[in-house]
Amino acid sequence: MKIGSSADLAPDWEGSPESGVTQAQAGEKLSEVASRLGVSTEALQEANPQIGDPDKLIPGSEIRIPAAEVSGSFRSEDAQSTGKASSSYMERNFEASMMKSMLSNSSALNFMPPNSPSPTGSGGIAQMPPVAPGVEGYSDKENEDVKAALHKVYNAAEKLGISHDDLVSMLHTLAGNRPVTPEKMTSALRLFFMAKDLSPADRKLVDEAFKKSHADPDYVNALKKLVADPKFTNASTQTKKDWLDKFGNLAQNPQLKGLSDTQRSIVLGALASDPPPSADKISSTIDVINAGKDLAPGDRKLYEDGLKAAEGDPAYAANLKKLIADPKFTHLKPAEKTAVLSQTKNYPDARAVANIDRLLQKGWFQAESLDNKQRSLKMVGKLSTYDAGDRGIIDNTLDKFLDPSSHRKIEWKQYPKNSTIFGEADGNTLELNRDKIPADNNKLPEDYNTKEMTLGTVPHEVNHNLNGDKVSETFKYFQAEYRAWFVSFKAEHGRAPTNQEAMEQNVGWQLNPKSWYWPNALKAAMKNPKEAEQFYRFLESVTGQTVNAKNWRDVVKSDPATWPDKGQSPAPVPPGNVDNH
Amino acid sequence: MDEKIQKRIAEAAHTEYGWKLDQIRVDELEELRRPTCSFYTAGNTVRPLSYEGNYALLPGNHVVGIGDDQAAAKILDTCSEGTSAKWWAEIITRFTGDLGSGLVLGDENERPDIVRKLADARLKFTVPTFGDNKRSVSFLLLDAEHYILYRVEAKRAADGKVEVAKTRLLEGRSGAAAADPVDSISGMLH
Repeated sequence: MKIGSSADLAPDWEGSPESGVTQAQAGEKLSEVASRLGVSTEALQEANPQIGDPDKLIPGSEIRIPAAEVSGSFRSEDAQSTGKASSSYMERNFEASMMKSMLSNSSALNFMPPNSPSPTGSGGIAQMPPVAPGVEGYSDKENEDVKAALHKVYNAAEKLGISHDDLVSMLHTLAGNRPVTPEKMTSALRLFFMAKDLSPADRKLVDEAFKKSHADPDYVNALKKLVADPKFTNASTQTKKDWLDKFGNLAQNPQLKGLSDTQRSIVLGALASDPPPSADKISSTIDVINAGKDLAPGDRKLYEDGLKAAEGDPAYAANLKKLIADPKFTHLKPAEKTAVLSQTKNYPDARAVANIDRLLQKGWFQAESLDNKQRSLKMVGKLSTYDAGDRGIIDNTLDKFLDPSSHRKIEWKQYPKNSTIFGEADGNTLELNRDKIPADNNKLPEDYNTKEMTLGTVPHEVNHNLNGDKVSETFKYFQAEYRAWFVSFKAEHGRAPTNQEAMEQNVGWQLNPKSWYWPNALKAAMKNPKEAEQFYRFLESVTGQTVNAKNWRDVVKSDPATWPDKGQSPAPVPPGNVDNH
Repeated sequence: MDEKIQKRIAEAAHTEYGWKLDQIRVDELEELRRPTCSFYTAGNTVRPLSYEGNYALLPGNHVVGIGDDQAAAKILDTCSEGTSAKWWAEIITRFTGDLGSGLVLGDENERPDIVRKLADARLKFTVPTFGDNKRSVSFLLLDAEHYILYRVEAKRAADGKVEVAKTRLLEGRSGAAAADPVDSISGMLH
């Protein structure tokens, strides 16, 4: 279907000038709507799966009229033959109703031709031109693109559970602010997804602010941030209205004129973080932006991109401003500065910037080559911002290399090529395989190597080092390996492993004749009955079974489903330092 | 073990890993021994490491390790006559990049937990198997420390190189952060 002109639309609308959608009236139930329309309640319910409670319709909400009930509204053979509204029909029906609504409601849309002057002087939507000429002002291709884009938003919004009313309003605003880019669509979906749990009154305020935003992604993202802030959700209705009004008026604010898109976005993010907007807050944010004016152009862009990505977090801005003024930064070579600012941008988090600043203070980092600096920077960025794990262990681990009083250091080592080794501790030096982490200014890839290096090897080896572990043919060493594994598991997952996980991922492997740990464990168990007893007692604590010299191999291989706790209880906490403090 | 061989392997490990010579333990992998070749692991006796080096002593007193891109091909060329698919799998695992240190699953009794999990995933346990007139081998490989099970397909290319492809079948660790709901459907918008 083309929507390039009214004439093009005629076939789809034929016979249904007023049909397809109706609106719920105040206090009306779905059964009453069905009665009013002369259709069955069941068919109406089926055509409107978005309605949660058929006895509590939202006044003004749109209700789709099922296919067989809308005479001639669509020439859909399947719908007409079955008497039911197929999903594809419903979709088309929705689109049709929406398009009809767009074309008939001049207050809702701004189908202005490209480059035509705005009636409000600012691209506003208050005064609509006649719609049809506006539609004709676009090429068929442009209209087809808008239609396709709105379809995508519609499908995505349905998956996100955004209400029908909010969706219609969102689509109207998007359609009125061409082009409908993926960025606009995504930011709109984020906003309405964030707002979907608000009260109807609050959602209406958000919707009005969205309309004022002209669907500009920067404004919409800032709105989303504002709406998500507890300060907003806990504010009175009047305060919310006041804040959103002030946000809506920012488009006309002279302080924002002359700023680049990125700079404007930074200001909006900062204002959303600290409502309500005020002239002072805008000025102070512009001051932060201007602090980067002496950076090289590329670095200044990284600096501003980082501020933008941090969505106005004042702690990030303060830390970054401090970092670029730090002599340890200003004395870096140009490419090293770029490496630093790349990672403060890639990890737009106040913690990452603070830790990168601490990294700059370390002599071992300053002595590294550029490629190894890049590796260290991105690893610190990643570890500083990984929130799915145990932050206590991760922060303690980072402190071991970044604390001013620490003598530990990282060394990127060249292992044999193709090696699967990630690293090892050698005294106070953590040697890491340089081939596992790419030397560039990108963010660390979310892959196996990254996970194993940052959350496996680093906390694991630090734990060995902190506990003074040495290889020996003892139960103690077996337990040391178990402890280091236990700590890295918690660092990654944010919880202790279960008995099953302990057996599968560490204990069973240490006691496997083919593992490199095996000779130590075996010799310990064989040479000394007291050592052997410790193994048996440990296995009992994991499996809940009686363990002795005859059955321990079978116990190690046994199915956790047969253990008393099915393997689901927390695994034993090993002795020693288990949080890398 | 012959002291000279032990010294040669220790020196190779010292060169590759930088370990002190007096802190290197060398063990022979007797189950892999062939009439003309022998195989060794080198580990550190002091550092708590989760890996060991693998080395082969080939005819002519020639030592190869994983640092040699052609190590697996050289071993197969020299010593593979009359060997089993399991032996091939061990060589390819120990001497090919990206595999390195996993556990080749040779029979169902070795890791019953893996057999159970394969069944749960409606996958079948398979022993190492030759294909393509003994120019390829497929096998299950467990990265035991990270509890990831791979199916490995290895083949000799026309030029003799060993080409390896691995497919992840099971993974014990997740670690994936919860997906952003909007991100998860953002593909629909492009």
